[in-house]
Amino acid sequence: MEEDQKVLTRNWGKIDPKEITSYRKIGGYQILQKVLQMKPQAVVNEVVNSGLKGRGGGGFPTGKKWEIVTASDEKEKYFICNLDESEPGTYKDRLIAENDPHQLIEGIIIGAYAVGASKAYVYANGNFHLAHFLLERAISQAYENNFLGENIMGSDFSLELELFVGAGAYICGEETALINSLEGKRGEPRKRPPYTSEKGLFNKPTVVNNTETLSSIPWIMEYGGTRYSQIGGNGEVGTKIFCVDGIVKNPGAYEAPMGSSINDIVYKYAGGIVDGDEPWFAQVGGSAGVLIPFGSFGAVPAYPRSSYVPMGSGAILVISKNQDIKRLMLSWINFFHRESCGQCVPCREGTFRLKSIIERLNEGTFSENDREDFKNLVWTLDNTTLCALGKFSVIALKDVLRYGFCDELK
Amino acid sequence: MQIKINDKIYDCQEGETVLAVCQRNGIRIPTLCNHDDLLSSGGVCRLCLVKVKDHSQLTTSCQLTVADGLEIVTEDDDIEKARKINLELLWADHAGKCAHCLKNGNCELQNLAKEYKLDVFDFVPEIKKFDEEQKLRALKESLKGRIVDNGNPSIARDNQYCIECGRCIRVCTQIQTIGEYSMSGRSIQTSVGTACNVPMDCILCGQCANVCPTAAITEKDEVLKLEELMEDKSKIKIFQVAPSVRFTLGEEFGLEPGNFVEEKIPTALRKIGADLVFDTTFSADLTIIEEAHELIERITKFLKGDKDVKFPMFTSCCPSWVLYLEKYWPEYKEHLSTAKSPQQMLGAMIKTYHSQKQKISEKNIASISIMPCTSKKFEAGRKEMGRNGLRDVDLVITTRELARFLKKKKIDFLKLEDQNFDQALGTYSGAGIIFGSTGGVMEAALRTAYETLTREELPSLDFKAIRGEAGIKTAEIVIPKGKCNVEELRIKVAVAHEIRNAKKILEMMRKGECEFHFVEIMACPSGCLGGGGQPIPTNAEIRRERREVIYRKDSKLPIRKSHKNPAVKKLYEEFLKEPGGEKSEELLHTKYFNRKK
Amino acid sequence: MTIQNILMQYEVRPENLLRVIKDVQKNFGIVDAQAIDQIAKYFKMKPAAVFSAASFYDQINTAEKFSIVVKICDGANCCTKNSDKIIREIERFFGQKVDDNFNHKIKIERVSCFGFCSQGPIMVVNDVMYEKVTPEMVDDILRGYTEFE
Repeated sequence: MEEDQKVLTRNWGKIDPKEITSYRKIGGYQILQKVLQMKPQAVVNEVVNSGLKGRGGGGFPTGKKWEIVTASDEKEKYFICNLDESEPGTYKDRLIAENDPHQLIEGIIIGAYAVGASKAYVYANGNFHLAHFLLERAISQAYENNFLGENIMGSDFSLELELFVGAGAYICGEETALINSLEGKRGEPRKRPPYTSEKGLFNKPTVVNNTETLSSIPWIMEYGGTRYSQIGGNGEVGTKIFCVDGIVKNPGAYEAPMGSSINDIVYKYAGGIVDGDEPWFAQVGGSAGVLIPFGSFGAVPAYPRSSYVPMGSGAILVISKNQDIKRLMLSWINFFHRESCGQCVPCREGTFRLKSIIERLNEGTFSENDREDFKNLVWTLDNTTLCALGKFSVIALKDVLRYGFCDELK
Repeated sequence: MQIKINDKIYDCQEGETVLAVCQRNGIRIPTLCNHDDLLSSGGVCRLCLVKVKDHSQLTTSCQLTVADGLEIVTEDDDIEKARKINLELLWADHAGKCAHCLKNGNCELQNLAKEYKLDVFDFVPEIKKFDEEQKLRALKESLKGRIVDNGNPSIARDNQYCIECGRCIRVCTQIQTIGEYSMSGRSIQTSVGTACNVPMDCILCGQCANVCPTAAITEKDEVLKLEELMEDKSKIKIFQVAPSVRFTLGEEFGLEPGNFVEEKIPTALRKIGADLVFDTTFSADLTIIEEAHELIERITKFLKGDKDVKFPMFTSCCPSWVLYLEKYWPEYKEHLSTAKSPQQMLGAMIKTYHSQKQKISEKNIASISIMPCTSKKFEAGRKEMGRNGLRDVDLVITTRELARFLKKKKIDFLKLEDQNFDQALGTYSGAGIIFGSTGGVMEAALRTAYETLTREELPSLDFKAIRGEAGIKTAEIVIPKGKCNVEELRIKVAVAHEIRNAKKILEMMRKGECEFHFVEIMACPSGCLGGGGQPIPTNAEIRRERREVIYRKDSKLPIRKSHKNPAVKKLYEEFLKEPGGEKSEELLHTKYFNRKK
Repeated sequence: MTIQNILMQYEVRPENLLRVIKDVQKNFGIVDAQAIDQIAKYFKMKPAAVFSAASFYDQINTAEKFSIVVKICDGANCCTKNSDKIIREIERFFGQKVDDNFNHKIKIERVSCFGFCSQGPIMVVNDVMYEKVTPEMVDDILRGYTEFE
């Protein structure tokens, strides 16, 4: 991506993430000053105009989320930055926190100001040690500079920001589970409604935004929502970090405009396919992502769950023709089985039985009976679980069936 | 409000769930996590799935609240398939374990498996086809995380039967406020248990066993012990039967809730080898004499200016309540009446009065009680409940265990002829019989206390204000002036059942806002008739049926006041001499301990 | 450091519960029954509720303390980079199968993605992360831990 089009990664490598002075030197926190003189509703409007959607995978319009909480009469409101990134193959949020923590913090402060929250949390994945260190440091520097704390930069707005580090549970990336975890409970998803925007943390209106989403905010406030909404194409706006891995020449994270196709990202950014290998399919969006056959790499990831390539987390894993699909299936189901919160029957027991079947598939003891059970379990997980994790657990498996990738299951 | 279910219109109330409407109208919807007494589980068993008409999505009826114009479909191919597979997933773990299981025949999971014709265990490959390594793995897998808790005398747990429905957690937290259980771990290791799986250290009320759909939590099974004892020729077997058992035991043999099988019980017990069958209802009357005496004594002392008298006085019949106070509020243990519970009073009388009268050594007596309660097993084992190293009650058998034993002995219970209890310690009054219900002990005590204080007949024996389902019921009894005091005396009483309600009264005391003189507390919902050892299932409706029969029985009895029970009078004349006297103090009263957690 | 010392550093607020649990884990390598009891008293909670929360997370160990814990990323990305061969190597080194729980000193487990995919395959030994691990490196890495035993 052209340097001047970058939103999220614009400062990466140019600043020292350890020092607030480095961020300030390139104009950091100036936009916050401007924002604090605006009406909160005007800030919300700007974000609404930008067309920014939740980058965690849900794709819910960020401005709309803020609007609901801004409109609430409750005095106590909370603002949470979701840095509990744990979708396999995805590490964009970690990189944001490691490379430019202050842009993220600035985004959080702007968001909290817009919705009227006086307490904010960053809920971080327990494995991101470097990110914890840098964020902890960045937060205290922001306090020292009065970008956090009482009467920020002389305004009436006060905000406390705390880093909260998780302890290893995929499901805590789901916003209601994250809130339960913060409250010292098991990280089990809550029933919705009520939505977090009405009853979230400590039963107060709460915004939970993904790290990548929030990191886009300072740019949007600086250059305007309209300009942001002009980036991208194919029905999606803005930029996004894609984590590309598998049989590509340069695996890594790349910021690209929304509306880029899989081909664009694999060839323009990740250097194309490794010599001598041939792609079979790509998995887009982590382990909960769909499989796209090589022939359809021209397709464009987009947010609606109904689209041909749902964006999910934006991870792209290119799989080689030589890959043992059965082993990959085991990795997927192992993951969802391990991460099941254990609350509901189909997810707790179903992923376990499905895992056993796939183990038998790998060991060569797969029976006729197992084939039938496999399909039944996939259906049950898809249709009867309490939260979306059950559905996620069989997205890739459904595609394996759909494209006939596994001979034994045909 | 009205909703449509399967194209038929049904009335419903705002806030109700679709499941509740279906259950009320006999529309069959399976569920394993929902329980009438408890708040929603959050929809974890995924069996009560239904569809909103013209929507393909399955949704849980236990979480779907009714709304105007809602149309529900409760049966179609998808729903059937979903229920069947989810049931099968639970059933896979239970395959082949039924034959030796306590709940065989009364297990909600087993019943559903039958209903949905799950006979092939699809998800579990036949073990015959396994090679050695697979066998070992299957064995390891089945042992992983198995927890068996036999560390207390009342309740047994074996998590291999647990289906993680969370009912026990909810009953323990919502109704009893103890919070002994929680969900732990994640994924397939998710399990229900105590903190770090240490042995249970609760009030042993057994409500968790009452709501458990499988055999993961049960009463501590002592049927074998009973069998051994019955075969011991050297012992004279003396039974006692708690008041509430005669109103519930019939349910175990297929009768509808609200039955009365008193006359069959002595026959059944004699058939299995009982030498004597006494009645705990008799000692309930005895308890009233002692407890009312204690109350009057406290009141008299207070009227004489002794400000150290502890009010309110608490009843002490319920061992779980006593344990709760000792563990969580030991600072108030002096408020408990020192009178022993009816079980322990009768136990003491059997091993002293009766053995002396009949000239049998107490060593040769096996004293066995049939109780509605798991906690009574603990109470009988308290060190202070006996003499010379012998227990007053040697074995406590719950209603459920008795039914299992009778079935095992192939006794056709309902066809038995009618017989009476043995007279010496077996005659009772209406006051004793209502001990089985919340409010009963209070009502019985008031009948005696009033007449003792005023030396006049009560105009009406029915204290309606302290009957019924309310969590806390209060009343005021006016003793006219000049009767026992110059001024008019108003005795304020309260009745609470379930620990959550007891806790409210204790919190009032802590704030200094408690004005009651006498408070009855039962740990179980509706009192002993909803006890932790009673027939399963239980819910408010079933308990109401049971209660109604109890009060009906009381109203028809010729003697309805404990102090008019001729057998009790005789016992005082021959042996105890006077309420609160030296002998009573020694045999009928007890002390309490600080067991602060 | 005692559990009491740890507790004293935290205010009694719900969001401090997991922090305390993590702190105890870090200092003692386990959050056992005794610790759970003390934490529960401090936060005025039921021990069962504390246990319930603590046992939910991968990084909290409420059951057993191992001297060597080897974690191998089982994410799809590491999986396509032959993490299986590394697991075989580790199993061979310890003579113990992955995910077995019968050795009370050593635990080998497959774990979920750490989010360091581009540096995969990832292996973590006693909280130290090794990147781009090859089967040949396994011996050298693990010997560093067993030789102190």
